[in-house]
Amino acid sequence: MAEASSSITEKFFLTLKSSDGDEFVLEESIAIQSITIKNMVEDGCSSSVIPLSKVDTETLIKVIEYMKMHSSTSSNEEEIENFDKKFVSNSINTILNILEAANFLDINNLLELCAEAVANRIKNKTPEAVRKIFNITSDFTPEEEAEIRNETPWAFEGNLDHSLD
Amino acid sequence: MTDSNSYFPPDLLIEILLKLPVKSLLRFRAVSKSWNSLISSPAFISTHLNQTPKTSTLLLRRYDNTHNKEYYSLFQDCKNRPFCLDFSSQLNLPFNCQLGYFRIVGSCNGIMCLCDDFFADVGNVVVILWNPSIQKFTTLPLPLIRFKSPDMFVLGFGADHLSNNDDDDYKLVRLVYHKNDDVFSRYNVPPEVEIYSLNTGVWRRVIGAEIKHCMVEFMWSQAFVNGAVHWIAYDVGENGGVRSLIMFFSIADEVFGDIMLPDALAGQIATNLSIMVFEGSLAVVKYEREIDGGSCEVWAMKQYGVLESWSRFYSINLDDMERVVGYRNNGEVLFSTRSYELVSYDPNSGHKKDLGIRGSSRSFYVQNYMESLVLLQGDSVVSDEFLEGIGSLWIED
Repeated sequence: MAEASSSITEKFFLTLKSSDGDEFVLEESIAIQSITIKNMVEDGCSSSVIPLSKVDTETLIKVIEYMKMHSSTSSNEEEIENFDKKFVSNSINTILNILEAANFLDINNLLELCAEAVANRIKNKTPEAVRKIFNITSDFTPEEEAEIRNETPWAFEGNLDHSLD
Repeated sequence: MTDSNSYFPPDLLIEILLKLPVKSLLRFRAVSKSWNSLISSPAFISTHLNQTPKTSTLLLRRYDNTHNKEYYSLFQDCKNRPFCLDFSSQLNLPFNCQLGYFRIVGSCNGIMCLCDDFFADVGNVVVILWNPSIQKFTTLPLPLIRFKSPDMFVLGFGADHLSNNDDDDYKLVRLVYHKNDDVFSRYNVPPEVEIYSLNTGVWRRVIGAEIKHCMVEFMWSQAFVNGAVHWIAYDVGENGGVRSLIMFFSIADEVFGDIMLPDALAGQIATNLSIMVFEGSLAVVKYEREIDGGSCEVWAMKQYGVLESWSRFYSINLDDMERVVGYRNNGEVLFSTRSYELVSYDPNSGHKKDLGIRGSSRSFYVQNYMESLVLLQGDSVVSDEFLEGIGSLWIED
């Protein structure tokens, strides 16, 4: 499309390619909520396909859904609020993947939303459940772990959540 | 994560952990060594503190003089919801005062600074920094400056929030005024000064502090605002005339200074004035007591340091109300009464309601409360002097 014919109403489109090889066409005005993509557009690197090697298809679909809802002037505050509420009810693994994608794509409000959601989801969990969710193997000896537990035993009491989601 | 080999980026993990409440963080120290050292690090503790949203939680201290017991409790002070005593939110005080209840020097960032100065004459000044949300405390070593009755001392407590955001410190300043024989001014000025810093763990004397003012004996209290501790102070003129003012100590740069009061307050004797924080501003309550009650006025300096911004907010008839204890989020003022009650007073309607909370009038203390991880490093410390000096003070297991 010729530069001269561009008018303010004309829409520009970008193509995003997930790590699985799937391509998604998206309005530039929506995609530039990602500071990473915005910088690429400004540097003139967006004429061809933008490869997002760190974002898989499932995650990219979610991120695009989010950007569409949050960019359009047609969605009102209430719609956005309801969308966000539903968005964070995804599985904790999905949210962690979106969080990483939001970090890579530099979409700050999506990063905040996901970090808050994960915190809410894990706050009543046991250390064992948290280890499994984050793929962590404890490197404490049983004595060391007991010492930490004994320091603030009340933090380990009550109705704790053992689930992994 | 879906990919079992994936490694979650540490900076994203920090973003998540910063949004967790204190109790969850204490529990998640048991996840792994790296989680433990991250959560316990001064940088994390400081950043977490600054990210903790302001809540409507109030901390209330009272002394029940029928059972001789001191209570600390948390309240949710939401608009349109009754303010009632919830016993489940009672905090466990891990130590007892030797007689009566502690003097609360101040509180900030979830740390209470308590002082037991009843036996100060004989050198027993017990100062405790206590973080109720993690149930840890530390007792301070004995101060360096000797104190003998009828000398007097004043304490100030506040946070030094360093700009690099890495290593907050908490400091206590102690001013010891020695008695003299002068007819008008009863104490020597300047006082001797020493400062305790939590990071160093020791008291250090300050030589040459330029302090030109006296302070109220025993009934002193502080307001920590704008990074400085503020007290009511006074000057004695050559003719014996007294003028009241505010003296401050800036915690970060350790400098003393003063703030003038408007004439309506400066002409009052210092014991009729009480310093507080009102809606985030430095405030002074002026009492004019009479046998049947009298009245009080709440003044605040809306713009810190701007003398013209001092203005009078309320003038309240006291009746049986004795002292302003604090302010609620709905704009009502909490008063202690002569009949050992706490009442909530609406300054607009003049209506007051008894909250059903009893305690001796001077013991009531109300302050906005926040959770924090400050003092997490290390075990609760009881200094040797603390144990040797005070046989009657006991520590709970």
